[in-house]
Amino acid sequence: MSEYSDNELIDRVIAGDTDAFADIITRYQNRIFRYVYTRVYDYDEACDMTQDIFLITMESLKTFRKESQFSTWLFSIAVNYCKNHRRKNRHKVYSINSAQDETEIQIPDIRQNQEELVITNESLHIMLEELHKLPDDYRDILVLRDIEGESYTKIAQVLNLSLANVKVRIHRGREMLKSRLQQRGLL
Amino acid sequence: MNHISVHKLSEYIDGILDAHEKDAIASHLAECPECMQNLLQLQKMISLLSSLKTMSMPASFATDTLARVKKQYYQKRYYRSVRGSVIAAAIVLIAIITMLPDSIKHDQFKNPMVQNTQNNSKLDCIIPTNMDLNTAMMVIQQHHARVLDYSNSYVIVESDVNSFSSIRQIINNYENYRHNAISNVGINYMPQGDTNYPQLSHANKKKYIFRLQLR
Repeated sequence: MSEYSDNELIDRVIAGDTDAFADIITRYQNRIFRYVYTRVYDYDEACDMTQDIFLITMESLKTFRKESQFSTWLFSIAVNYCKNHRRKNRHKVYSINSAQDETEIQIPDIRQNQEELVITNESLHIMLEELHKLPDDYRDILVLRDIEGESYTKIAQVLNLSLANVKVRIHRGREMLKSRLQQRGLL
Repeated sequence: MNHISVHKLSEYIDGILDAHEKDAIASHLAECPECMQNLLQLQKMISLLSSLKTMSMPASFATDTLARVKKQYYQKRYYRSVRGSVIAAAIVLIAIITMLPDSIKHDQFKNPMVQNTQNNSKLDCIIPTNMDLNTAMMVIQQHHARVLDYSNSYVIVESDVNSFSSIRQIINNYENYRHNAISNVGINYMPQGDTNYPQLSHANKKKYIFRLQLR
């Protein structure tokens, strides 16, 4: 991982060093992927969408004014991209019960330990399913808060919401998810 | 005893309650197993959610994405440079065409087929001559007439009355010189069937459009 700060990397990319963008991708690819995956619940599609988000980011990099953190700006791009994607694919149905999707739920994770290559834990599968079924407003916020560990303030910036609204949505989202997980016997 | 809502427990977990509320909830939890159970369930759920952070992408993702980014970047740069060149070339071409003399613009750059069709309907007369194209052009130029269209077999000319007469005279002389018996016969030549062909009259016309039919 590069020792350069986000802004230093951005300056290098804008100056023509496109290779520096690889460091930006490496730094944020998993965070963006997780956000996208919980939305579309399809591994290949999530990979393609994540790649598209980085392409858009590269194209728009000159417009980043450094008034906020780069990660906030990047997540805003991802959020808008996913919203547009949903609008374009409104009629596409993601069936999570078919045999094909059962295999897609398995998320390859290239790490040292081969046993960790695939999330096989049943509870995580159920968690992903129920998370995916949540309304966008609650799912997005739970991903940012409870998976990525972002602060309330940052979530408010990324989703363009008031702080009070963020608080309400986090707690309602948790309540909703808890209730669903209880019905599935997970809690 | 009122139980604590999941909403409040969630705020308690995130530590966003004021000290007073926090103490009240802590005291209640110590006495209420049901609320404690709810709290533990909520904590387990959050813990499960945070474990999804292990989801990651293939190591090759960054390299693949960068390759796509570079391809797109260089394609855009290429198109931008090509677009610049095309625009520059178009500007130069327009400037050249604008600066060209009117005679060239109107006589030589037009489509001969279209021109021919358009001018046939306007012809005042057709003058057969044994002149070749070069000689005819020279004569036309000498009399400041304007070439509307030409090919190896004809020249369509626009001239004023005086030039028209002079050109006709020269053609007659040229033909006489070549001992060919040709005179004004050609003037007012009308194609068969075209009864509306305009009559030649010096009195009512300022410009004449005529066709020299070359040998």
